[in-house]
Amino acid sequence: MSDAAGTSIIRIEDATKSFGANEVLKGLNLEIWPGEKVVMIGASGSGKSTLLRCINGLERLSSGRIVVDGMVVGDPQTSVTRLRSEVGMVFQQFNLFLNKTVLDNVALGPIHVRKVPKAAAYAEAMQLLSRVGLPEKAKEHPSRLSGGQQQRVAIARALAMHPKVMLFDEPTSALDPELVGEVLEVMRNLAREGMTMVVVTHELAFAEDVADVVIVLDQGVIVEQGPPSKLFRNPETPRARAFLSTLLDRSVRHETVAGAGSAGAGPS
Amino acid sequence: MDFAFLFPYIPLLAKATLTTIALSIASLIGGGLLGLTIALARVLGGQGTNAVLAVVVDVVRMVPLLVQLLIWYLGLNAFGIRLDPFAASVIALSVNASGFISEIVRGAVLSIARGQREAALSVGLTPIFSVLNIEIPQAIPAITPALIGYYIGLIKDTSIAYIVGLLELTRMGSYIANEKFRPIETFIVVAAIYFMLCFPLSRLVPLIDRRMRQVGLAQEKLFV
Repeated sequence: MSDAAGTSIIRIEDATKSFGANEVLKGLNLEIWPGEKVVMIGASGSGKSTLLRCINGLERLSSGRIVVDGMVVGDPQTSVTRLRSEVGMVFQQFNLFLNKTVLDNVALGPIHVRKVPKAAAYAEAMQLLSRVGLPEKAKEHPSRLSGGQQQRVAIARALAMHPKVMLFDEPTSALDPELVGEVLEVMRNLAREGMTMVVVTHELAFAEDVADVVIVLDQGVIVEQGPPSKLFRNPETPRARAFLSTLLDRSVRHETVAGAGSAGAGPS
Repeated sequence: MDFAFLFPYIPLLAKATLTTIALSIASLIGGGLLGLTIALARVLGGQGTNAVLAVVVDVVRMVPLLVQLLIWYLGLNAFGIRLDPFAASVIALSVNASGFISEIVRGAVLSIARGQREAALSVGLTPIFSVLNIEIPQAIPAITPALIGYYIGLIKDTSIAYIVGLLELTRMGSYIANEKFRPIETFIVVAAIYFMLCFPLSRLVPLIDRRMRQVGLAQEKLFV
């Protein structure tokens, strides 16, 4: 990437991570620039989720370091609260707080972490719910919502902290096919507004539309990276080619089985 | 069998029953607070804290309650700290209860999906905020029936206060039995009183359990 963008917002240097004898990340280097959209793909166990979880400090690197907006993740000098306010995270399983209303799910962080007065926090939470198309669900509990709606609330919850970066860990993988479109639509809008995004997903059409860079992870290392137009049509490495062919194969089958499914749900 | 001789003792039996109830409630509150504290420290603390408290909980659970009470009552006496029988009993029962209650709470909190904590941390909330405001409220359907079940046992355990001379229900029974030389009738009545204290609670457990399971599907009703 060019130097014109100034300094990177995320810098990953020789990152390794082991769980016991299992080495999940094996010396990973990556720089992400403000406003950039990065899509990570790779087989399960390739380290994608672990990498995201290391970026916001849910997991601690075994060696190497990650710098987010000048803050070294895991450093005693770094305020974990500030780091996590700047890095929003959206999970595969949504993880909405089940004992809280939708509105409270969104407003809890602003009220207790950013110390926003309650009235202002709830007003902003309502705005965010409108932005993800769910203002009428504010008083409901998460169990009353569909998976797609829950994930949109989860995105609103993350945005309420005014993050500089949003991490998405397979945000549509747990959804029924007909609910995928509405979540991707919200993510597309977010991308259009200029949010820096790191997305682990197998939605290749989304990656093609939105990603500046696609990264193929395999066994804890980056095997290939490049713009989707190039990487999807003309992967250079055998491992990237192998993974993409299984993914394309799967999505073709997926589309024939699910019919209009994900393609028809989103208006875009 | 004739129970008529007990009529004059009704006020004394009633007073002793109240002492038993007061002792059980005080110990439930003491054990609850201490147990919650231990559970929080074990859930939130590091491995060291957890290991130390695990030993403490094991010791408390593996030593007979009667022995624990004697240690508190006589042991502290040896150091010049004179506890009255009620205070010594509350302390012994509370400490003992805390060992069991901390396990009830800890187990229920650990059963809550990990993702709830991770989501809380991800918006910058602290682990303790997550446990108190997100995890424990969701664990209440699991905690409540177990806690009532434990409390039934606690009511019965208060009878060990007999040994330090507290005039609770069992000791009062023994006092009346000795005075009237009628142990059988007296202790049948004492037994009936314990039964009446505990039985309604025991019926409550499956009721609350079922209710909470039903409501659990639409969890909101529990927390509004």
